[in-house]
Amino acid sequence: MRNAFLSLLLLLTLFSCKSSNYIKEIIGKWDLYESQYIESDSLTGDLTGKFNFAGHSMDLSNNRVYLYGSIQKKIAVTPGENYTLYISGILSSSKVWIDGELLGVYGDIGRSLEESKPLITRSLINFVPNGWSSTVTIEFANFHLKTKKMFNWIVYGESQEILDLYIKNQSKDYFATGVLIVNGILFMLLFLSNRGNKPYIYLSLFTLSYGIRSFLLKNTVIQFIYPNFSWELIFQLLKSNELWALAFIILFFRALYPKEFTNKISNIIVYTTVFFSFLVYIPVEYYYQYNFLLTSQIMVIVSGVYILGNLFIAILHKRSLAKRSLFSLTIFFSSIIVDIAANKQFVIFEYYSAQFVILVVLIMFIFIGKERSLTYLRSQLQLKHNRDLKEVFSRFVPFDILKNIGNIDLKDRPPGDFVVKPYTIAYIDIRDFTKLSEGLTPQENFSMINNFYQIVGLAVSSHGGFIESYGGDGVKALFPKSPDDAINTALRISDEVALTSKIKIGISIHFGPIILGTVGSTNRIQATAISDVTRILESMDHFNSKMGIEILISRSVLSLSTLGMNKLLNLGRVILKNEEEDIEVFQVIPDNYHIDELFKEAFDNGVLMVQNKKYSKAYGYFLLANRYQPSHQLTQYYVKKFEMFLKLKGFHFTLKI
Amino acid sequence: MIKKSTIILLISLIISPIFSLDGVRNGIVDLRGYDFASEQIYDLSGEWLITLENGDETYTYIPRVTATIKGQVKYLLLIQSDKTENLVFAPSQINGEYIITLNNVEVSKGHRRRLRYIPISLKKGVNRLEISVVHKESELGGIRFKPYLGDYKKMLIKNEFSVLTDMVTSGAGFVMFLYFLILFIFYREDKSTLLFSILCFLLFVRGFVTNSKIIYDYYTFLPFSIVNKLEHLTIYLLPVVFLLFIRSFFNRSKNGIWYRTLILISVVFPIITIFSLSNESLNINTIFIIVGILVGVYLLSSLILYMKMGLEDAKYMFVGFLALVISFLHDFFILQNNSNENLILTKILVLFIIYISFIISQKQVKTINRIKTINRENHRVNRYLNKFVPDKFIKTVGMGNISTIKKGDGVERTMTVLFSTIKGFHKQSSLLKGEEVIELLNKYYSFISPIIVKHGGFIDKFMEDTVMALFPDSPESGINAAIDIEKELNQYNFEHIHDIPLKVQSGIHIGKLFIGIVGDDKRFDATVISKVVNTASRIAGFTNKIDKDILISDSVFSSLDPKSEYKTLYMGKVKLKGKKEFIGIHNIYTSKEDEADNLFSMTMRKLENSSLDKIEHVLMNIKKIYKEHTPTLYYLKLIKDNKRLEDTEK
Repeated sequence: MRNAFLSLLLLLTLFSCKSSNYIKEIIGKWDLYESQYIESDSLTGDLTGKFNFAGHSMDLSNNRVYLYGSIQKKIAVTPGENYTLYISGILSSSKVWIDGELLGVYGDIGRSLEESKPLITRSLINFVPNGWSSTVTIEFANFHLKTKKMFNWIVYGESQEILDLYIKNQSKDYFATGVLIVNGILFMLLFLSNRGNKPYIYLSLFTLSYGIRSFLLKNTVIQFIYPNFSWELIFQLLKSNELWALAFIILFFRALYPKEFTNKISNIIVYTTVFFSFLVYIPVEYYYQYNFLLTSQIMVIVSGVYILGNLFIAILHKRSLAKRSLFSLTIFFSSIIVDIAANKQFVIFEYYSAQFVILVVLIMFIFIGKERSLTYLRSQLQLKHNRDLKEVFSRFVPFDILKNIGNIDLKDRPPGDFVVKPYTIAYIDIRDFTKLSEGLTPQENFSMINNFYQIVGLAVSSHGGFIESYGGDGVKALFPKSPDDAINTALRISDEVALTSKIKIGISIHFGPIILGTVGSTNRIQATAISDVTRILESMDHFNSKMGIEILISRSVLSLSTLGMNKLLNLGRVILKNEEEDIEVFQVIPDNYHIDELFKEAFDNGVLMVQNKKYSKAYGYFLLANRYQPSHQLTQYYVKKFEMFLKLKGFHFTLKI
Repeated sequence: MIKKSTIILLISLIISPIFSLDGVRNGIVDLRGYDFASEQIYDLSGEWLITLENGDETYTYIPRVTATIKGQVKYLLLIQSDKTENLVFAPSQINGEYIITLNNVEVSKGHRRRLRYIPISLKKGVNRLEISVVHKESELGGIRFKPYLGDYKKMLIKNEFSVLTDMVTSGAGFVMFLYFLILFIFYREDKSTLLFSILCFLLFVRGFVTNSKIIYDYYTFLPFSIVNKLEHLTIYLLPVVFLLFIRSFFNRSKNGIWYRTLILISVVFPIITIFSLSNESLNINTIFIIVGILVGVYLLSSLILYMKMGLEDAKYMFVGFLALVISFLHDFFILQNNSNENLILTKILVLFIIYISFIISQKQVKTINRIKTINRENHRVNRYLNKFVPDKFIKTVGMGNISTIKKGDGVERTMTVLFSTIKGFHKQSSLLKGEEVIELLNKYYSFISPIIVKHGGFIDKFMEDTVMALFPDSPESGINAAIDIEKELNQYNFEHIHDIPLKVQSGIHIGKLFIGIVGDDKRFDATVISKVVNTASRIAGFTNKIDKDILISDSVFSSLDPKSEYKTLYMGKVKLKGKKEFIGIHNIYTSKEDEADNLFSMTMRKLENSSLDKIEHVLMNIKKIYKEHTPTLYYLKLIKDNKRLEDTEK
């Protein structure tokens, strides 16, 4: 697609180089006009036949400074038709007569260098011949013999045809001017908005220089806008812009392929080019005298070879777009060489290189397009990758805890963030897990746990709590609001687990200030709840597990909850394992759990009696309770402990687990 | 800055002065004394004598766009000259077939083709300039624009300027067309670049088909009708493209009734132009201008709406469009006056295109930058989140990639489990504030983690005073890690002599582990489920009781490389807390050999299968020699309390 596009463009450009066929070029030998004379300090003798005024240089020695004279040529015409004589690039002052009528005056002609004022222009002279032939006479004063030319070329033909040719020539260069200047402006703006894009600014300057050059080539307009614009200045601007363009294109490739183009040679070429571009501004005589024009032309060729060579290296290095760059640059430099050659030939020819600059510009477009789309796609992919990763990671991240700690926007902070707040904390555990897992494959085992955790996770989050950690042996959940949430969660889990699996669970709930924070090292962080509360909770769970209680809550939870005493069984004050102080704990009775009213009453009384230190009565109640519900392990434990206590005739009873 | 200066430039172009030239009175123009070489081109507009087909003669102002003349008409102008002069007559545009004669000599004829310049030679006295035209259409009939007479060179310059404007415009359009087309080719999701490139293409074509119709110079075979069609198409397509472009640029997908109607109406013009055989019979220009104005108003009001919605670039786009609409109106009035001088629309279009190009380019760059910023942010967040993710864990145990992991995934592996516990943490922490606890823990974790990683292990969990680490390679790596922790901790304590010294005790066990992903829909965790873990934890707990830093289980001991040179002491078979079976315990030590330890170890080895009484007896003897030997004391206590080597205490 891109290649097809490129070739199409190339074809169009090449096609536009085709010249018109309807015009006649006046080349060959001109006669020295007899009635006029040639006068110069060192130009003497009969010079008839020695001049080839258009299309060829004058065969004169190099030391001529000023040449004044006139020449004449007869051209074949049809009487009555409108004719136009088209002189391209007059580089001297001259007067043009056609059939004895003065039709064109370009600059001032004087007999000495001082009196003359040249005018660099292209001119169109309209005439209607009377006979079958017309005589073109040109009086001239040429003062730069080194250029060896009066004008680039002279053609004539029917007015309309010449006009077509003229307009076509002009339009092509104006078009190129538009292309290059606008491109220059665009890239300048693009560069200004992102200073990192070095190739942009060089491409901009390159196209601007070339655009100005292609505009200056059509000097007619400039002289109309600025009549006092001296031809020297136009010439100097033209040449210096050409050289600047050369320097900028090297800098451009240097920015594009830094590895290949950053070396001494490129420095030398750029500096020399810039040096010569300013050398252009010395008086034109000297410029010609020392043949700087030739030097700059050689420089173009040297730089061309250098750029093409390095682009070839870039291809070997597999740089992106190096092939296309080489291709376009080859065409571009060929067109410059053709321009130079044609200019030397003085045949009817227009400069083509400006048209081919568009190929270089196109390469840059492709470059930008590619780069942008790549950057875009790459960042899109990265975006997706990051999002996917985030999603995966998120599952392991305790967002709720981070939110509680205050790291809502997930700032990359080292571990150590924490908050101390009262929470209701629940420990949910599978009872006799080892026994359950016997006979199960690891996979079945895992899916069993996961099903359980699924229930837990859902229940916890739907009651406004969050999971602190999933461990191999249990889940810790925190409830920032009411302890009721924790109790309701526990009831729900108990219900659901009873419905869906054979797992026996135990849930212990405690309340108190908890340090919630991130701990870990630099590359591994974990969120943890640390506190005495968690330690007590572990002991509660131990008690819970041992007594097969299922849902066990502490006094601190109860006093903040709205749970009625009818849903509870007061288990009394217990000194839990590893604890020094006793704690009042309660068993929560789920709705669907059948509890013998008589048992409850007996047990409650037992606990009450313990509180009142009426131990023998308490023992009696526990015995009674045990009879109503022999499976209640804590009752059994009470009975056992009391038996021992009473036997030992103890003074103060505390249940110790 | 750039945008502001563009606006100033736009405004200054709009108010560029319009000047007019002299005219013709009663079919005669007196050019005596007029020097064409030094003075202006002469404007020949004014009252010409026209002769209709039926012979009626009348003085009519030309150019006269609205003249409803059809059929053959003759225009006559008498030019008074005081000298013979070679001049150029430029009729600009004649609609219809024409013959131009000067003093009854034919100078030009043709059919509605481009009429650029007709060289004419005026003679001294009265010259008779006649134009005979056959009109086929009433509207725009006759001489469309002002005719001029002037010096060849001046005429050429005037022409050259129009060529210059057209071509620079065209070139600008062309380069932007390429630019945006390529941007579109590379990134096809953004349709606005394609639409904008079409817009630029229209501008490019327009330069070649209007005014001087340069296209004829290159493609001489092109018939006028095609060029004419192209000329109209380039204008008629503008509203549709503009509508589509603005919508695409601002990503509006909702099509209002106005939008749909305007698109429908605007599409009609190019379609008619393409399919009609000749444009000359159609009078759609006026309707088009109305539609154009409607579209302009619609676009401007939508842009105002977008501005209010706070859409990016809406205000810049508005300024651009405003300039365009103003220049359109400006040109419209000039054309109403039958002049084609000082038209600014194309110039403004060039500026508009550069301006919009810049905005579009900027928009793309901005989009990319925005994505980059999001990426950076995401990357940063991910880096943080990653710290919570046991990805190393998952990778090391061979559960596949973190991104493909799902709940319930798990593997079975034999691994070494290391439990490292801070000695006396609970006592210490109860005296500290929350902040200090966290600080202490993090200090401890940060201290241990690199050592674990260094030995090829990874942290499974931080559990308050304990770090649980897994070593997939060999039990030696676990032991080495434990030794290193001890060594470095000594060094650390030495360096921080004023702080409370940290002491860590480690228990190591090896065995089959089930490692898997547990959790609910929202939250995953990687977890190890195995008896081995519990046992390792118990061994670690036991260290404190017998005051040894590193204890390993029998199974670790037996799986050690025989070449390994650890200093070990057998500590006997103990039933650890909560365990059902007895397990052999070994102590790894790095300090100097201790006689008491040796004696103790030898005893345990020797008396392994002996009766408890005998063991007690020997231990009592050891106690007599080494009164403070903790393991001996503790074992004696166990025997006394539980009647066997069973540990029940925490």
